[in-house]
Amino acid sequence: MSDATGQPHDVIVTIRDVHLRRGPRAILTGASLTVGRGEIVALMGASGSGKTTLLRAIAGLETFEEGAIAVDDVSLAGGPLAPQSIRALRRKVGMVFQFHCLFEHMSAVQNIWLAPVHVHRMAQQEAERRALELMKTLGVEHRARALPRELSGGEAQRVAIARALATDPPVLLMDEPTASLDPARRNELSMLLKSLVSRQRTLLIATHDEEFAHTAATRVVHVTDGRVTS
Amino acid sequence: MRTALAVGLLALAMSSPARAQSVPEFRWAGDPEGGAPYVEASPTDPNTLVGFDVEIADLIAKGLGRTPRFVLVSFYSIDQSVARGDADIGLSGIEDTVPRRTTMAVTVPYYAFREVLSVRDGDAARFRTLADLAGKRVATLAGTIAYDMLLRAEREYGLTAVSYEDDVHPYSDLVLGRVDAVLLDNILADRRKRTISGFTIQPTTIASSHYVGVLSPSNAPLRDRANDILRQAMRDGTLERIFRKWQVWNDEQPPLYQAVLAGETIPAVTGVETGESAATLSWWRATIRYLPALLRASVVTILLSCLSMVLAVALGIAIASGRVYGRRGLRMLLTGYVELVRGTPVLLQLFVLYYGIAAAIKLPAFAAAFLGLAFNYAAYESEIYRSALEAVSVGQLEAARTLGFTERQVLTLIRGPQAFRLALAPMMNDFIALLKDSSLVSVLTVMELTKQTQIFATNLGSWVIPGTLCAALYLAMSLPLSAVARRLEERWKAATV
Repeated sequence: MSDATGQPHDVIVTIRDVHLRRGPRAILTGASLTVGRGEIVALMGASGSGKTTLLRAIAGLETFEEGAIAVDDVSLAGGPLAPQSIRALRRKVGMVFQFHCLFEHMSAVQNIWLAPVHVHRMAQQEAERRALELMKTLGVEHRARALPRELSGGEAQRVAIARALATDPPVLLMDEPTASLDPARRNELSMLLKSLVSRQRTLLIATHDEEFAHTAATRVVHVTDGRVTS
Repeated sequence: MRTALAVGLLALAMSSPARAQSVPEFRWAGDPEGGAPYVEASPTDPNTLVGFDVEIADLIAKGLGRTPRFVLVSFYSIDQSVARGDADIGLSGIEDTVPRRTTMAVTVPYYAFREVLSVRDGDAARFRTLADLAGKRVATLAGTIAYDMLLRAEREYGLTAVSYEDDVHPYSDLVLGRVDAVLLDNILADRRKRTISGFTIQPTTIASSHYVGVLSPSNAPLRDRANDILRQAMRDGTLERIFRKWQVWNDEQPPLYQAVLAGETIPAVTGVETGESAATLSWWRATIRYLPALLRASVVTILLSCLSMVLAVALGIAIASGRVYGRRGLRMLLTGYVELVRGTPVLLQLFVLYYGIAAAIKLPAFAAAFLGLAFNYAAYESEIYRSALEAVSVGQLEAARTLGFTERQVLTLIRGPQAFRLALAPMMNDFIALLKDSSLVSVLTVMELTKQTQIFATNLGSWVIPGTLCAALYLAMSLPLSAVARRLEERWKAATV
């Protein structure tokens, strides 16, 4: 486990033997993975293989029965998740959903400054200034006042990335980020993700887009039947 | 109960052998809710009607060679129902009044009654006349001579007239202390005295009048034939026998019968200055006279609706939140409440709140009306909010959680505002429905717009002007609400699609 220059990474995400069931169906069957700081790891696999569920477990959206997940200095064990662990985890992890899941009643820029203001107690003026900066970095500052329904798929995704980055989490999880993008936008996204990593941010991307995975990621692993196989 | 009775009576009428033989019918309208001794379902056979008005209807029908058939009509609608041809005659303790004589064909008077004052036993020495009741609440039946007298006494003595739709609750509320006196016919007072203790009937006669039969103004020939039959029954003692049977014969009847048989002019009401009757006024002057009362009643309607809706919305949000976020026990409890309220009539809930629990909690009429409507609408509002909360996508809620929002923040910042916008249109619809449903609270003696209109129509003998005014006032209240709802919907439409 090393970066593109061959330097070893310090570990930021550790997934150890995670088992997760939904009713009678086993979704994760002993998934294990270690991710170093600054890596872009693509989780590839067929639909239903468990890659999205694995991301959701790392984000604290799923309870798993066995195993352990650690993100930086926050550890989660199997069983019900303790509220304080969840609170600590969410300062470490941001997530971009496949369908963006922007807050429909708010403008793009409001979507971005809402968490810094209400969760991190940042002054609204400062949070809005930073949100607009982030939008500028991501090339969507001209859509700041647009409502989510007025954004294109690519714009909505960039706003969703900006929203996840606004709280400055060291780990960013992305679920099927190319699902709504044309090839030109896919290349732009690939470039964008690499620029994010240059700021010492770690990315885990669930995708079944092989070309994108190999272009964007520093490492590609496969998820098969609820396990990370390579 | 009234519906069951109506079905029973309908079945009785349909199975009548007389009907099968095509004997002409004599349809007479009455209201069994008025009870004995006028018209009531027989205690031994609820499908049979008994009462002195039933026997008088039989008497007239027999004299006409027809078969009597009862037509169930609300007491307050008997005149209008007869005028539109639903029945040949109305008989149900119908008072002889100037407006009625002006607008309908009325029979000769067949029973003399007195308006008497009833007060709590402890007040018997100090409340003897209406003048003694300044600042007090005095109950009666709406749309009666007594009600008109109380409206006049409001101006003259400063008492408050409280209208009821039945003759039982004025007396039970008198004993409970909700009202300080009751002004009603001596027959009604005597009857209630047998079942309710704690009140005294004052001996002074406040006014006197008579009961008459009422027919359509175009049915004067039938009225004249009915009069002949009634006069004959006065002469041969048939009426006396009927009234003695019902224990209401007294010394006031023979002079009345003598006057009727002598063809004397008998005033409709004595002992009270009746003034100019609404029925004799031009529609314009009648409108001018009643408009202030209708406007006052509109204020009651809008105030009651607004207050009830505010509480219904607050309770609805609490119930919906409890059903979406609460533990199993709380969810079951709240679901039970919603199902109970939605599964029972609002009228029943109002009765229970005002009369049913009166022994334990004596709510004032307006408070009971406000709470009853609010509790009822809260159940419906909660269903709107619950479905609106559940319509906000799970993805947005999860996105908010990954950003570190607490569940309370997710509700107040993300889910609640979107749900509110989704709920706005049905909520405004409910508000308009509540505005109209508020007319039901007249059963709790609250004088709102529909009740005031009904009294206006009864006095005027027509629904055309009062109905038009009432509709205009309701529209004046509901159309701005619709406009506000549309504007808000348009403003927020972009954010909710």
